[in-house]
Amino acid sequence: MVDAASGEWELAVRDRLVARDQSALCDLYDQFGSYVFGLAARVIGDRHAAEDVTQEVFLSLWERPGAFDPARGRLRTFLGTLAHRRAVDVVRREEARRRRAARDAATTMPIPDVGELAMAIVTAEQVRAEVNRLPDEQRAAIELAYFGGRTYRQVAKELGIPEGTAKSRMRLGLGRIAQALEAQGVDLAWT
Amino acid sequence: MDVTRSEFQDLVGAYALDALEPDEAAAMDAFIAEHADAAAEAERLRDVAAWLGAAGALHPPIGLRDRLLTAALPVEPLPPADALRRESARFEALLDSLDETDLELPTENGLSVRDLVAHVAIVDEAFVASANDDSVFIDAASVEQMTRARLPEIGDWTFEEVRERARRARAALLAVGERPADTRVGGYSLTSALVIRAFETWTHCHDVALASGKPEVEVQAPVMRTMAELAVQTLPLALAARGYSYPGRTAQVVMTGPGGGDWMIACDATETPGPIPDVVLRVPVVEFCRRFADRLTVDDVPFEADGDADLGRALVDAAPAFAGL
Repeated sequence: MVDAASGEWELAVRDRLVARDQSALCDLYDQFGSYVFGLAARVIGDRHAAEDVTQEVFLSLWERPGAFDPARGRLRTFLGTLAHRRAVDVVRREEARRRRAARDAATTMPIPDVGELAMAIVTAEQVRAEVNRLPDEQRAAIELAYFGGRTYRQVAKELGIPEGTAKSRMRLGLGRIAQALEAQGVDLAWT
Repeated sequence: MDVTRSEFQDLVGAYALDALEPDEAAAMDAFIAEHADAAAEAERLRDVAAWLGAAGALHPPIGLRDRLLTAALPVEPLPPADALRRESARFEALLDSLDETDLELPTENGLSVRDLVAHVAIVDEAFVASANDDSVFIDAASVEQMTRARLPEIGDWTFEEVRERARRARAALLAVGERPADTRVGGYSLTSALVIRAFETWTHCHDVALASGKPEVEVQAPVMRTMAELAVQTLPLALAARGYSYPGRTAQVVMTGPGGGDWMIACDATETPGPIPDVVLRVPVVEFCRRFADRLTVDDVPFEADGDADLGRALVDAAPAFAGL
């Protein structure tokens, strides 16, 4: 049996998608549905829009499985990047007022998916711990950009800092997390 | 814009967080495609970003899994009369929502909303009248001609009278649909004639929605699939009609989205498709069908062509070769 968290599983599922095996889409959704939906819901703040993004992300890979190249990275990163980009597109199209109202409503959203969290819990906890260790100004820039769907220019404006500073806080913050985790022996790509 | 090495370093954090402007992101994509070390660094930060989102995993709503699987299922085309009935119902629902002030608004083909409905009735009547008359061939030119000639007949009709005429004509056409399968209508096979009319109804429904700003009911995937089949089958002839010549060439046409599908076609109408395509054309089914109806330009269609890019573009360019009003 192939471990669902392994690169071997990802290769196998990609090949099954290429062969139009619908059970591969089920497996993929069962494995990453909570991650993609949770990410989209947090960025957009509207569960209906998050559902649409989730469906688009999985259909996109179903229709173009060749777009995922196992040699270039992990499936989690691929799906997360796709989901985040689409969610950010949605956010940027929305009016700020509507987004805020929807986000307030989203606080009553469902409980975390224990199965997905169990699989990812160690790494996610380590990442969260490292995020909390970041200097406040780096954490604020990263969270505004990633979960708020802001561009670095908008981040700079909201935080009242030069654009160059916003960019460097994002780069330094992410780099610091990566470095800290690598020092702990966590291979982000292969966890 | 182009990105230098130092600009890459400057932007890579924001890139990993999707926090760049679109032109900057495109420039970074191009830089990364050329530089393996840059790709590795961007991927390293993207991995971190992907894990930022992992702590917030949530149970998706129960119905989402089923919705996804339904959307991914291959959809079979409908019997043509069913497709026509469903498009007729969609068109009727949109017309029901119109206000008096919407009726004189200009639509995509230059006709007012009111005259567009009359145009649908006039062409339906011509199809009905041509049933089993082998001397008639209804093409784009004759559609335009009959519309111009007969529109004055309804000059002072109320919109309800125009709609009633359209309903009667459509009912008569559906009755023709009950005839034996070898019945010729407007110079076409019976099944093609019914799908052509469903396609035109779908197109004009969208024309009216755009002109009036009123929402249209979402088209059903099996109807989309039925129309996509017609569009694909027509492509080899459309290529020839537009002056393209691709003997011995095969294209795989992959239409994405609900009602899409996957077809192998010979690019010369006299041939059969080979086993290996010269081009794989990927295009959203709705946009391709809008192009087929001549409602989008080639540049407005978000297609991708893997392989022979010229052939891929020719297929999209030629698609509306037989589109009428």
